[in-house]
Amino acid sequence: MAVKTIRTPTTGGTQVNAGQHIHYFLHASGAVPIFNHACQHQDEPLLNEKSFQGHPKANYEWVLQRSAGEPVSGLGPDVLAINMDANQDNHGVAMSYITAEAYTLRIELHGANHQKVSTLSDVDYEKDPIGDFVTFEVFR
Amino acid sequence: MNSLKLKYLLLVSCVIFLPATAWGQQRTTATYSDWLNARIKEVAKQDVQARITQRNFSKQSETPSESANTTSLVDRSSASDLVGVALNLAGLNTNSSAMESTSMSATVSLYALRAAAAQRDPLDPAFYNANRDWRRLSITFGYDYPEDKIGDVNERAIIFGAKYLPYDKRDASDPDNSRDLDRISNLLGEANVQAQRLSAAVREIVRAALRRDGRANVDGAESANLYFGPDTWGTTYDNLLSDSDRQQIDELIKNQIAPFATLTEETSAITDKIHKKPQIAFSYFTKQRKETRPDEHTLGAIFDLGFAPRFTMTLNASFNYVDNKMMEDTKGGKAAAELQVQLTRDKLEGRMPIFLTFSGDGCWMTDTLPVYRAQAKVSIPLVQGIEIPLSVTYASRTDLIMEADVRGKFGFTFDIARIAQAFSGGLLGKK
Repeated sequence: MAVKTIRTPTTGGTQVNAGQHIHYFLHASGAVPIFNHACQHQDEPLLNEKSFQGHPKANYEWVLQRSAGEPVSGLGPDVLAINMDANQDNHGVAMSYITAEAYTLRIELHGANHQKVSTLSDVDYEKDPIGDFVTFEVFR
Repeated sequence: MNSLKLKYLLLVSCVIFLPATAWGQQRTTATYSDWLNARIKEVAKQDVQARITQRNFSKQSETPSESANTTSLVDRSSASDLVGVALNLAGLNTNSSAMESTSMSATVSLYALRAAAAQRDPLDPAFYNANRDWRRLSITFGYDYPEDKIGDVNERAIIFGAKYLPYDKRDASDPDNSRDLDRISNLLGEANVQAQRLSAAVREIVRAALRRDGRANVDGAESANLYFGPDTWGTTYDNLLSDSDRQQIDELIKNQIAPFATLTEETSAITDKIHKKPQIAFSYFTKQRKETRPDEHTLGAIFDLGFAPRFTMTLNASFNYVDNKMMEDTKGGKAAAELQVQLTRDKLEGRMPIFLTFSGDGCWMTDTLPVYRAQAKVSIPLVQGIEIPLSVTYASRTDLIMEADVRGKFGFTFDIARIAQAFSGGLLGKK
């Protein structure tokens, strides 16, 4: 049984208005985290664990921007940025446990100045033979 | 003696029931994301045997075989990543059914000590990978009573030992495993793309059903939470969809399960492959006794190799030296072999599988007749991180009597790393 602690259950969907972005915070425990972020319209994940400098490490952060033309400013050097490519899309994170013990994934909707608008998901994921998949709809 | 047993029972009860309390406090909900996650896994798990590299079955929590009361004749090559504790509570032999022998040992890796000294989470991937060499060395402390002398502190032997693992291809951070882990990373990517497409397709079926029922505003973010939200998806699925709709969704998931099944199969295969890579360790153990009682020293080599699915072979060879103090020292060698068979599937999470092991050893010392032993043992997992090893051992003779002896033993083993995982994974350090 995969044990989950759910602080904020995953939203069904969210609207990302002008100036807003979605911020992902992933904390990993174990030897080597293996994860990625994908959407329904691309054949390849938008990023994976190897996209990050310093991998393997405990904390990974990235943002989902409304578009490439609306970059989020003020991001730290370790925070990656990916872009929405459709007005309605399914976005999600997949996590493998083959060499990791647990993950905590917190997803927040942020305003223009990085202030939190709402928490879209905040869940601890632990040990599953296949992995875990998190998904919700994103609109712009 | 009764007081001693009571302490053990209290300790064991605490360790067994604490995790159950923690699990009982977990909250589960069926959001749309969780539901889809569970349905995908339910379908893909069929015929799957998955394991992970950190559940390395060669990691030993039992008292070293140097102890007279251990349930193990053979030492394994690696110890727990953090701390392992073993209790051997009882010995049932052909002459008596009373508990008569007790030993205990604790094994700690230098990695655990380094993490504690640095005040770092030992499960921080960066720290874990940067300090692999610290996991190669573990030290063991413990005590052991001779037969029929339980509780007599003058007869108690102090066990001290160290184990060094110079060759370990089973470590997740070993560079030789990176290509296999890249394969899992790629398959996880393919599965996640499919998961998002599957999610979109399921939502479309649901929205079509809602439109069919004349519901307006089924598109957009607001409707996504009205019908797919954390508090609403259950109602949507149970009350707003027809049996035909639900069947259509199930068929959709089954038809698109291939990337998830491939991921599952490959995860299992690669885990199995890594588990069966060879390990070589060298160990030194000593039993120190009071005054003129003999001290024992053992210097050994340990080789682990998986050679077939669910079968692992371990070989030990050691040089033994007994400092008899009052008479001439004795020395000699010991050889042991163990075949470990995994009886039940590894479900990845929770308890370890049940293992059956057959082992035998021979000990040839100067001025004494050789001793040959054979053992059958089963390790029964209670909860995550806690196992009961039960064993039956035949010995051609014992240290005290020149006749064959059959003896049953049981104990408890505690792997602190695995117990910690059962709580939250954050118990060992900072989140």
